[in-house]
Amino acid sequence: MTMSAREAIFKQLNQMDPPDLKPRPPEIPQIDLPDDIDGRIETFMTELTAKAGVAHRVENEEAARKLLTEIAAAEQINTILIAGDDTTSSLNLKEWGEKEGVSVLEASAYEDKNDYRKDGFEAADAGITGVDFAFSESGTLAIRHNSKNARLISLAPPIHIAIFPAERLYRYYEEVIPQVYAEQEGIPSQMTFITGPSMTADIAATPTIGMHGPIKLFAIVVG
Amino acid sequence: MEIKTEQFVEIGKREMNDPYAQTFLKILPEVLGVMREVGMASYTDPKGASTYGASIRREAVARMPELLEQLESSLIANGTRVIWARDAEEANEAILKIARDNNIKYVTKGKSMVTEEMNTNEMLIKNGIDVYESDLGELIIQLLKRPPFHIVGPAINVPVEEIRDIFLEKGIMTEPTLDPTELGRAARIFLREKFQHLEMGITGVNMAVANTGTIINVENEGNIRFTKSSPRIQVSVMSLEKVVPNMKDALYILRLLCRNCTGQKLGSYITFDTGPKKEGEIDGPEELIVVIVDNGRSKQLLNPELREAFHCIRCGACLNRCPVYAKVGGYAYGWAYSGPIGQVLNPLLLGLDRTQDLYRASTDCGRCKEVCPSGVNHPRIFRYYRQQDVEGNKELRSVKRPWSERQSFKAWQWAVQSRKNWDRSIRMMRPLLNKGISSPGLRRWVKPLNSWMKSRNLQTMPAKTFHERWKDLEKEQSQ
Repeated sequence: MTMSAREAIFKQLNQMDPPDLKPRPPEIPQIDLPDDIDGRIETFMTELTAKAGVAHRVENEEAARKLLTEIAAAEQINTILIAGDDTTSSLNLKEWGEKEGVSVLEASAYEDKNDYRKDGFEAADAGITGVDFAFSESGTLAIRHNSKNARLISLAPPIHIAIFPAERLYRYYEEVIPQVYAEQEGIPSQMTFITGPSMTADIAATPTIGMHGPIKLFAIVVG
Repeated sequence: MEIKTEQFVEIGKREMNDPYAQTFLKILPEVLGVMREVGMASYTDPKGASTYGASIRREAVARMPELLEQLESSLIANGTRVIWARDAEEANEAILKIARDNNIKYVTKGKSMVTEEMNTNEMLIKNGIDVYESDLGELIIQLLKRPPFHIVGPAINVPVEEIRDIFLEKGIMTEPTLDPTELGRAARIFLREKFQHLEMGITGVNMAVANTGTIINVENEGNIRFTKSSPRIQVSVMSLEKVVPNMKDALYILRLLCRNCTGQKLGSYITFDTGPKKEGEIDGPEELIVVIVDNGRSKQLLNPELREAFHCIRCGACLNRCPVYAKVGGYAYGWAYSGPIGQVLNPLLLGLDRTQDLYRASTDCGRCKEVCPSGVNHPRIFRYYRQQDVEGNKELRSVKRPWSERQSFKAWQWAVQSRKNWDRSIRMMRPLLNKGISSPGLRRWVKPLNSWMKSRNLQTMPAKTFHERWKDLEKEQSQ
């Protein structure tokens, strides 16, 4: 019988000498970043702004809704696609949309993927999601995708607006991500780190904001 | 992609005579190098950061058999299908079969070096399945049918006029423009429709985490996210060495990769996939398939001298510091991988016979290994290839050097082995050398020196050696 590819590859690999594992050198310390809440938020906002994102800090949900109204007016947002995670749910965006004249599409309400994709790609001017974690070191948002926070909401519409409570902001991703992956049951099918809008420099090395993903990214820290 | 590694000198010369390429090469590597330095400066100890990164890579490669087995079982436990492939052909066949079984008309592709190596696009297209490269640079070189100019920016050297023309010709856009942003927008609009109706996406893998079965992709454009989030089937292709032990190590490498690649603290998007979509999820693939490709690696992994080559994380930092790359650009390397890492990987994967000039095109300056965040000592590997090529190595497909060269080195060996031989040859050679320098005779006369002498002149030697003069002086003194 002929060997399967797997067998053939392992037959070769298993001839490797047993690994001579030298102890690793000491890990270098992380850069020093402010750990108080204001310091974390400030660093996060500076870093995200440096990556062409727009960062806001608001006091509470009411202020967040007010800011959304302003953003919707400035960016001419008529239709939004929203996630159903805890942050977006507690903002009552359906009600907000009715009041502000913005049509609100709930990703979790779709049964047919093609309808959902059509609206995500064609109808929505913006996608609004919560985020699970944010990291001040690099100005990064982290989303654990699941039935309440689908992938295309933060990807297909030209604008992504992310809202999250300040206590989800950490300094370094090591503070929380290894724990997410520690227990097999808790691991999401996909997790995304978002650090700025989509960008490219592939033509003539000219930095261009807005390639395939969102052209604009707003991050709103509540608290 | 046609393999043109044998034409290194020819293509290199052409590029050196191309004023556009030269203007570009004067700026690009320098700028990318500075960006990298700025990125690395955000570490408390940049050198220490690379040293630790290298230790992760070394360990991952040394433990590869065990880690790959662990990866496989974690992937399967997550509901991911794993396909092993001995070579490009097997991997391509598997991908084609998936496409055919699912009645796929077209796929979009995320940037992937290993599928460049495998010629996956050509094979799928030949079999009636359309392939849209979706990274902007990859799309451009796909349309122009060119190899990547740079690992990170494959079309970064292509003049905007050429991009305008090909975009118009291929119907990517209808109105001419030379604005890079507008050209990018045209590609965005063109590919959006493909992403929306996508049924199967193909991506590479930056890292695969053994203990969780998570595959990680790093990007800036969002095309990989679309390629993984929109379709029903996701095929992610990885070479053996992409496996890392755990998430903590992967997170460590992410910091290094982004800083070394583009100087960013993190790329715009990093996605971590662990299995297909779960119940109740409206998007994400129903089927996630990871193709693990050997393509000549497992054989070379047995050679401890070459194991370092598999440390590479494809950041491209070595390209930007290389004085040879800065002259000839990416095309001369003739295949998927360019710059110093191309000089390491192309010979390893294609054989020493087809890459004769690649591992010899080195100034031995070592700037590549200085910046490498994963501990690859490129110059040492070049020297090893040269040695193996001379001494003979079947696994690496060496070719013997020309007879005249071998004879010259034999003569050299004889001369340097004893003082007497040395003195005797020096006495014999000096007048000849001097005569050779005054006429072009020497070059013709010692053939292997021919190309070396083309750009170098030997100083005329005095009639007597130092020792002879010393003796004469002593004689004079004593008189």
